[in-house]
Formats: sequence, structure tokens, C-alpha cells
Amino acid sequence: MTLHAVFDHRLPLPENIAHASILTPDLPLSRNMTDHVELQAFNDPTVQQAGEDMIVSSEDKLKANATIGMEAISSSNQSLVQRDEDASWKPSRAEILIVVLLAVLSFMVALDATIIVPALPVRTIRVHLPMTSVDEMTSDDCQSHRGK
Amino acid sequence: MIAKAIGANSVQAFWIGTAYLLPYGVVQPLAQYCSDTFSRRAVLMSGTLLFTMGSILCAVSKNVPSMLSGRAIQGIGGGSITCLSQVIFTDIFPLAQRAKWAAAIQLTAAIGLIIGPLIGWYC
Repeated sequence: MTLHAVFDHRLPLPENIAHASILTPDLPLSRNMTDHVELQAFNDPTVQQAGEDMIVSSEDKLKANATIGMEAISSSNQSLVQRDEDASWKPSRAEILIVVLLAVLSFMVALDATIIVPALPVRTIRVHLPMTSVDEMTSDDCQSHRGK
Repeated sequence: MIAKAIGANSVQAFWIGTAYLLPYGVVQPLAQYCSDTFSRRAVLMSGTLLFTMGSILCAVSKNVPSMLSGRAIQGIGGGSITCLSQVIFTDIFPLAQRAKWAAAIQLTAAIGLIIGPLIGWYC
């Protein structure tokens, strides 16, 4: 795994540093790659292998983070698009007619639930109670009203 | 006075009012289930038909049993209509539009509830 393979899509490197370089994952991702020091001390194969493993691991993390990020952005965008579509949606003439029909039916049902209430009373209860609350009535008052 | 016209006592007059509300509430979950099984249109039309038949039966009733039967049939139809109104409304309108259009249906229902006693008292 060369450095080009990892950062190829972001940072095209100059040809002269592509042969033996190992960059630590902590290096900032800038386009000014000519400032990076070519690390000749890491020509040892074991060190190179360790460094390449680190790069591969870093690449996997970058890819995983990018995938998660893209999925989140995609989901968010879909939600926003759906909201925009909902906000700009307008009912057709047939749908408005359906709503009018449902409104008329709801009106008739609600009317029928209450129209019978004042038309039902059997008789008027004529009790001549004094203009006081029930709590203030005495037992004599109750007995006298029962007798009427 | 309706109760006097059909010879109902106070308990029977009470049940004339309640005979509508009881099936009105009970039938709503059933109507929703039936609308999933069959179709929205079939259940709504059945409810409207029952409501109309119950109204006609109440209008021609001469005694308490026929009036109670008519009110119960009306309640079945009314409950179906109320439930299916909400179900069909939810089917048609997306979430962002429901608040605005729900007001139209709820407004007419509220007007019906308000002017019902006035018409009943006047007639």
C-alpha cells in the first residue's frame, strides 16, 4: 500500500516523494505536501510494514467515517426533500370534493347528536325552591318542598 | 315534545338520547378495522346508508321501541362516518398539510354541535 493509494483521491503527490515515504496519520491533510520531510530512516522493512498497517487502518477508519457521514447526509437530505414536497403539496379538485363531503357528513352527525336534547323533555319540573343554595336549605324546607 | 308525541316516560326519553351515543362510540374501532379489511369507500357508504335509514325510522316512529331502534341505527352510522372521516382525511393529506385542512372538518362538526340544540329548541 503506497501513500498514493491512500490519499490519491485527495492529495496528488509529487512523483519524487512517492517511492519510500511513510507519513504518520497525524499529519494534517494539506495540499502543500512538498513541505513533508522524506523519512529515509524508515527504510527498514519491518518499520515500513508497521507504517503501512497504520495507513491501512487509518484508511479503513476514513472510509468508515465517510460512509457513515454520507448515509447520515443522505437520510437528512431525503427528510428535507420529503418535507419540501409535503409543504408544496396541493390537493386536487377531487380531493377537495372529498373533504367537503366529509365535512358535510361530520356536520350532520354532530347536529344529530345534539338536536334531540332540547326536544326530549318529558315534563317541566316545577319545584319552587328558595333562591339559596342547597347547602343552606333546612330540613323543614326539604319537607315542605316534598309536600308540594 | 318528542317524548310526549310517542308516549315516552323520563327513563325512555333518556335512552332515546343515549341510544345514539352508545353505538356511536362502540362502533368506531370496528369501523376502522372493517375499512382496512374491505375498503374505505364501502364502510363510509355503509355508514351513511345506516345513518339515513336510522333518521327515516326516527322520523316515522310512533312509539318508543321504533324510536330507540332508529337512534341506535343512527349511532352506528354516525360512528362509522366520524371514524372514516378521520381515516380518509389522514390517507389523503400529508403530515405538513393536516393541521390546516383538519380545521375545515372540525369546524363544521363544531358548528353542528352548536346549532343542534338551537334547532331542536326552535322546532
